[in-house]
Amino acid sequence: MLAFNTFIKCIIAYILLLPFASADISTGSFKEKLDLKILPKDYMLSSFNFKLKSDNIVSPRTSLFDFKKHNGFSRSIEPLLTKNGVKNLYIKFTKGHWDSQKWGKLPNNGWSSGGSGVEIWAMMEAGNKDEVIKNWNILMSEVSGIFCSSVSFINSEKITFINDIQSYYDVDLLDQIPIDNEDNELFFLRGSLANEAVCTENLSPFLRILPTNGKTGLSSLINGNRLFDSYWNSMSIDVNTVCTDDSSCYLDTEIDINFVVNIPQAIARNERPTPKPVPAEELQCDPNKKLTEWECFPLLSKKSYSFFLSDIFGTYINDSNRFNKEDVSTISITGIDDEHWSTGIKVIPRGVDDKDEIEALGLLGTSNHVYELKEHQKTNYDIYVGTTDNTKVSLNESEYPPIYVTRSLTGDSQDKGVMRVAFTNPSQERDITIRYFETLPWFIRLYVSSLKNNVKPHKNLDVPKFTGDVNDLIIKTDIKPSIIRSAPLHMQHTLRIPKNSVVMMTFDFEKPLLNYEEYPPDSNHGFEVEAAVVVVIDEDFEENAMNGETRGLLKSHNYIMRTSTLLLTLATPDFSMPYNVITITSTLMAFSFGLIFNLLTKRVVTFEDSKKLVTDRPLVRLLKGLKIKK
Amino acid sequence: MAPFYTNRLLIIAYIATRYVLFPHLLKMFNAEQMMLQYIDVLFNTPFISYKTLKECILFTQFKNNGSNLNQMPLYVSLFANIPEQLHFYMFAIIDVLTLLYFLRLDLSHFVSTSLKTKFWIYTLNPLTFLGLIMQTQFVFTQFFIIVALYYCLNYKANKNGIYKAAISIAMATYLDIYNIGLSLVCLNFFITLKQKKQYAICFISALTSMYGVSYLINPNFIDNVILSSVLFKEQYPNIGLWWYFFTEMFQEYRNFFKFVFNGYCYIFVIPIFLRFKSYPLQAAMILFTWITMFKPYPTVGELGFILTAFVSWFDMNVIENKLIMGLLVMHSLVLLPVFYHLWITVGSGNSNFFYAMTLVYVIGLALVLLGMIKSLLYKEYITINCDDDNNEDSTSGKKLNLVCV
Repeated sequence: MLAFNTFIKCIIAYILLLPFASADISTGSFKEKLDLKILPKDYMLSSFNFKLKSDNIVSPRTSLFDFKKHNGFSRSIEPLLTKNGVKNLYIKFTKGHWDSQKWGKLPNNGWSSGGSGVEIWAMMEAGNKDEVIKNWNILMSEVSGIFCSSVSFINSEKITFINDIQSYYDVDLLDQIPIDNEDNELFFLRGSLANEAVCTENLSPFLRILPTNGKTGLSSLINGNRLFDSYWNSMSIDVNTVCTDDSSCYLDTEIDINFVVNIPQAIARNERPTPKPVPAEELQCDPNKKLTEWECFPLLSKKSYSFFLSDIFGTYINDSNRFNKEDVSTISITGIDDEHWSTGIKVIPRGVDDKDEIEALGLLGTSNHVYELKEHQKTNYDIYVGTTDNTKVSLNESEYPPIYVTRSLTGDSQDKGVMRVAFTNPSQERDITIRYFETLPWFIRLYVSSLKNNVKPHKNLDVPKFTGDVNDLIIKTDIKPSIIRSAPLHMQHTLRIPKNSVVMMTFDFEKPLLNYEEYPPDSNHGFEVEAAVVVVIDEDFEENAMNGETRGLLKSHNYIMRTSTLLLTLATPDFSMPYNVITITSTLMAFSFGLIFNLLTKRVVTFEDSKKLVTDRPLVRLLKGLKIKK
Repeated sequence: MAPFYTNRLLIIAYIATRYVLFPHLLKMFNAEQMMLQYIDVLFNTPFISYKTLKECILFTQFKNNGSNLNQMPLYVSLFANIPEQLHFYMFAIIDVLTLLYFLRLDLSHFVSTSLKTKFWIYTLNPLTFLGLIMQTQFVFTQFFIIVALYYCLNYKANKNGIYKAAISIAMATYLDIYNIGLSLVCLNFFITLKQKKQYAICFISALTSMYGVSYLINPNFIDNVILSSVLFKEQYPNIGLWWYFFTEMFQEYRNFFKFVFNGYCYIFVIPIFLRFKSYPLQAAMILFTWITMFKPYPTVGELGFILTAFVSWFDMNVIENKLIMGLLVMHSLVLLPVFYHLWITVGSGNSNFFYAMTLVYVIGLALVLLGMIKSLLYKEYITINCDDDNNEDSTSGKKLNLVCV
């Protein structure tokens, strides 16, 4: 009854307040962008970027009638954050291997992709660490519900608290985060689940967050079949709480979806949906190499081809009911030169469905390869890309990654091994400073004391070799040891990598046995170990940021990347043995107990005396009596 | 004069070989990689290994609450103050002192082992030597046990002997909580009630003060060393019976069986204390062997100590089945590392192979224990029954045929 009364009151209040509330001008906005980058060797990176800004839905002080308007901003995100004291939330789903030797830097300086699997960063407000962990667990179960993934497994065994926030977060933005309770602190946490299978069911929640629901605008191109059939893909959502002043706070959300496809393969998929070999007459063989009826080495020199985006994505850009009517959606094609590449846009009016008819439509081109979907034209679009020489793609000097990192496990036994991390600085001119951020599960007993450093030149060049103490390269070390079954080992080394050299770090570790129920169903497959994070720091920028003066964004100064994940095999017991082990061990214990107990409690006599003693025993006498009676 | 000098030369040569030449040779031939890693499982557990010690020393600079820092704070701070190159010599000094106390521990009224034999028994024991090479904590534990037994036995001759004994047994207990049973058995060494009280009070206060100081240095040792060892938190394969049992044990019964197994270790403390009142030294050895059989983290280093003590403190003439005993122990010592290698590295065997060998090892140890008790019972019988009139019988070498009824 009480609830009903409250409900009625609310309804009345709502009706009364509605005119005032709706009188506010919506401050929310939605922007979308697609960046197609042609990479060397016929690869193409498609970067979708969606920027959502909510209305002033978050107020630092909770008022009596707290009506929230969402105006196209997803309703599921806001309670996720406010309920658990989360201020910023970054979720990254990534799969595949980014080949930085071939493809250069990660898109967006690495800030919109994570390690293989799921990675979650959160800025949370709480009184102490226990409260944070409690809130984190609730947050994880909600996130796993919304994004259909098993992130609820990221519990206190896997999370790390981040100390050097300035390397991962714009420090000057900290002032813009509202804090509800004066006594509380902000904690920056990270958790990750290695090699989580990212698939279509993770994509659809992403599209559902968008106001266009993945039906219109640029997001209509995104299709699970095509996205997950790529060499590398990453989906990330960054939610920031931003307060411009006391009363107006909003959620700033950025969704990035990046993936790399091989263009000829994607086109071939359209032509031959079932994987059949290329017919002999279509093969482009290298005549300089061995060429017989059975052998054909592919021609590496220039090739010409052209394609429409609809060949790769399977659909046209549906512009019939775009959400951001006032704004423009941009499509840009980068990484190509004008001489050998040409692009164009095809406007397909409504009602034109026939394939031949569409093919007959003309193309419109621009000189800078940027296309804007401006007016609300209720049409479909398609983008054309063609080349006469596909080798004319090259990366700029600035697009080469500042660092290559490889991490591997060595050792031939299942009880111990060595973890080796090699940092390569390919630059010939300058040294770099990096943060190496490692989180290892508790079942790797890593001996930090066994750390060995080693420097080698990267290439044999005239650049002077590094001469000096190798241990001086470690500027700062920060370690939190692992706690069995409750906390991971977390270490962060700040290293200086000299120019043109490879710095190798090795650690010894041991692997324990687990309890039988802690092994996964396929225990001989091994355990996934999450990727390490490496940040290349712009030292000047960081120093300025710490002093309170900043120039530009952190994301354009620091480059972040992840190593590959590791597969750790542990020694396994024989799972079919529990009863045998329990019974045999117990028998042996009882047997030794009996031996000792016998000797301790009985009397020691000579063999001759024992005969007399034995005959005096009641049992013997009884037996004797029985014999006599017979 | 000449034998004196030759003796001295011999001793110097011995020290040079054992503590300088041999370790250097091993280092030169990269023994860590070539040989020692294969027998690592026999000698090292997380609680005594040198690797853990180094890790603990490193973490004195950081937040040292990690669960893999399994060494006692005082032990760690001792080594933290010694430069790393000298660590081995610290172990070597302790080893020399152990040898000296072992030689001075005179049991001539009980067994007729000469000083020379004892010297060779100790120095030629490969298990003790390898324990030293691997720099395990057991070098220290063994030293404190032997010192404690020495002072217990000779407390009258030494000034403050009782206190020294109590403090060393407290140190042995501090390093390994499972030695606490020895402290009770050692109470039998002292005759008057006053001495017993002195011993007990000194032991308790020494142990509490050591724990107190440790708590001030690093309060996490209670979780990471004592509870971790007693509750078997670090599940690494070792030569004991616990690791496979608790890996395979059903979740619901695990805590119950941890309780049972711990109780099992101490089940004979009071019986041995009461039964062998007049032979406390041997009783202590018997109890030590029993605990070694059933404690969570036993090592072969303990077997080395047991065998040394067994041969030199017990009358070997009355022990039967010496061949079988020796063969069993040898058999398990050879096959334990082989089967471990087959399971862990090669992958052609599984854990059951290694488990079977640990069973054989425990049976071998049980036979040694049986021999100890039998020899002690024989001695007891002779002292009670044959001392006065049948003195010729016992010395003439005629062995009595004794049985238990």
